[in-house]
Amino acid sequence: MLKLKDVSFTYVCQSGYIAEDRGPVSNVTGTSETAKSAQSGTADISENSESGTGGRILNSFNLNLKKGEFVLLTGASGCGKTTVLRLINGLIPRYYPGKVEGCIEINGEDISGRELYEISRSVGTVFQNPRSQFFNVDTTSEMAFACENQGLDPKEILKRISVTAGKFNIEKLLNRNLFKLSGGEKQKIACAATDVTGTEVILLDEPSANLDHDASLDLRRLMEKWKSEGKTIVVSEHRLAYLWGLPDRLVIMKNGIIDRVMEKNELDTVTPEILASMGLRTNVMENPVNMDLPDIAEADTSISLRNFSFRYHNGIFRKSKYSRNFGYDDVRIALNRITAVTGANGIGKTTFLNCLCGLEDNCRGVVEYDCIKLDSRERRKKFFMVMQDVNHQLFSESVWEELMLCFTGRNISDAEKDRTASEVLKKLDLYEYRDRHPMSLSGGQKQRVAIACALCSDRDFLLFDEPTSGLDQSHMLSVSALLKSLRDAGKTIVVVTHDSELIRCCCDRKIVLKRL
Amino acid sequence: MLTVDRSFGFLDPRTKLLLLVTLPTFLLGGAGGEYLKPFCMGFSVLPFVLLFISRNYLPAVSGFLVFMLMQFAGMIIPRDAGGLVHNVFLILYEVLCLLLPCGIMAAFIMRTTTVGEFIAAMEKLKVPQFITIPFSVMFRFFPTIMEEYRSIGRAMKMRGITPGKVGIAGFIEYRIVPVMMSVVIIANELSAAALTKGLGGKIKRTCIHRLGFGFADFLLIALCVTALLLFVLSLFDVRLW
Repeated sequence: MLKLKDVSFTYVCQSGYIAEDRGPVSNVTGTSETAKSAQSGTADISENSESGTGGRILNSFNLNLKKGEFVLLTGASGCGKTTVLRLINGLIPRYYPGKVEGCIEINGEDISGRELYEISRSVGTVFQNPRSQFFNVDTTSEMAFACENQGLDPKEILKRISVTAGKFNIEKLLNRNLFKLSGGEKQKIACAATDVTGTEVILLDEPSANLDHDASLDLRRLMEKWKSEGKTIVVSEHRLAYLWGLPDRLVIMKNGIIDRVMEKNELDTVTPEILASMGLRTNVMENPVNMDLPDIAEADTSISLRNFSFRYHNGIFRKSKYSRNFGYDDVRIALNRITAVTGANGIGKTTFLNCLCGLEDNCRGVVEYDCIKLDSRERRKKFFMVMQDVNHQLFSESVWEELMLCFTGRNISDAEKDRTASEVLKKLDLYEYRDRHPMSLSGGQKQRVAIACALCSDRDFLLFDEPTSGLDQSHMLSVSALLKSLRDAGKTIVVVTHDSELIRCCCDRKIVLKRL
Repeated sequence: MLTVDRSFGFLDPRTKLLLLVTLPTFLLGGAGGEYLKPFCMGFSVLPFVLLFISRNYLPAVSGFLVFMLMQFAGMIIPRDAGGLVHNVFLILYEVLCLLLPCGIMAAFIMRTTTVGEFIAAMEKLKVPQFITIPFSVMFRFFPTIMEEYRSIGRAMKMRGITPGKVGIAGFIEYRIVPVMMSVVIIANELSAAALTKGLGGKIKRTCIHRLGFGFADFLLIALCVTALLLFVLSLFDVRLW
């Protein structure tokens, strides 16, 4: 059905970070010699431990899928998972240029001479980021889009959409504005759009990166349906837990080659410890909402949020029917602790942080700190949020300038500024990057630059919005270590997250947001 | 059987396109002058009516009130008081008065046209794909840019970056550059996603939205065509009144 034979890929560098936000280019060189190959009767995935090909992202990659097979690709960031998917859906080399060797076959046909629109008839892709995979503004058009491009009869397309909507139980989401859906709903629409096309091969590139516990289980259900229909599925993913039990094969990649292949029978006996030893995330699903952490302990000193509420207005245009409002009478956040904030997708976690930070005008209520009431303006001076998309909060041309920006308007001598900034940079392992442009750094480094800004502007409260979405095990652990060290330095930390592993690793307290 | 919500766009995209060309011609271009003044007044009110019919009651009514207030203000502002400030103010006022209906019209079109309808309409008008596709992306991009812009505004507020601290030029730079950055990244990913869905192939596209002219379309087209015709005739000194 789907066959990649001795496929190698060498990236032709485009203009840097624009092509790849968190891509494989920077951290992959060469191949590992210690790779183990695995082979079995029906499936044959093997790898060639040819070494010393610098700059190659993928090296002699072999993958052979029969119809109806489900393969899960995993491995550290930058190991080449996404590259494999792009090779199969044809974006490499047709959209992302580079040198491809070897042969890729779908249904026994070599796709090398095919145009993208021809490949799109047999391969459908669900991408990671919901904000950049929809071409339309409303859901129904998006679901029809691929079929319209194939020139199918509109009646047939509408029939297919209603079949898919019934199958996935998403009738409620039809004819809605995509920009008003939650992350989980958007990802359902992305899957539904692929389903309407009816392609035999379905690729999913980290589809759960922005999903909470329940939404990822919903995603699993959709994949189960596809599996039972005999679709051939390849998923690239860090979070293994929600998928566990579905894949027929787990392919662990490392530096552009296959490090290890585990078959179904082997997968059944794997424990989280074995996975952790291979640098992978756990396979045990845990709902952050049910995790056993107190929201506040007796001994804690805390800040109180009283009559905290927010109403979602929609500019001058009609107020949205699906507006998200929330209100809390009394929430306490423990000082000098790491508090996890969880809750379903679309419940308003980010809005909650924005309100706490004093960034929302429609927010009512007071925050009490040491018996002093803080209004929005005062909160803006005490709280700092590391946003989910850190690109939004870095403005300067170098890391150093970025930090100097934190001092503007404050009465500090230049020597003092230099000293503080150098100290903070050294603490966060950023000192050697102080002259680099923030946008040329990796995702984790950008995150640390934002934290450095918070430290330089002397904020006591650090808020994090999904700091580990789409991160592999080792990066998740380093975020967790960083949070702990910030706590130990006396900061109060609030983390919005649905990453139960992160909560397990570092959080002391937990607040669950609920729908009113 | 699934139906596509027709109330979403009760006009054919081609009619909207014609309106989008006609309105500025008369309101901003001042075609026809005093002679076609009645048409101008009609065109000024039209966007509010359309917005109202398409169930955007609040912006329609409030927009109309603002518009009427401005008209009323126009009657009481002395025209010949002289002075530079007064003149500048007067010019600004006139431009705003004329711009408002055009802006509302554009907003109406953006809100009620789906990307699919737009592409289908352009194909019926035999516009080549290399023009249609970039324009169709625009529909989707306005909300995206707004989202990014808001998010960056929040980040600046949090960092305490205000025009007072970094200067107006710096403020604009800090606001615009990150927006451009993320828009470029999104555009890149978006194109990739659209290509894997077969956009830009050699096959003739279909569209689930039924295109076709209804009564409202004929009415508006007649209005636009009449106005344009009268204008062209008036250029040759043929006038009805």
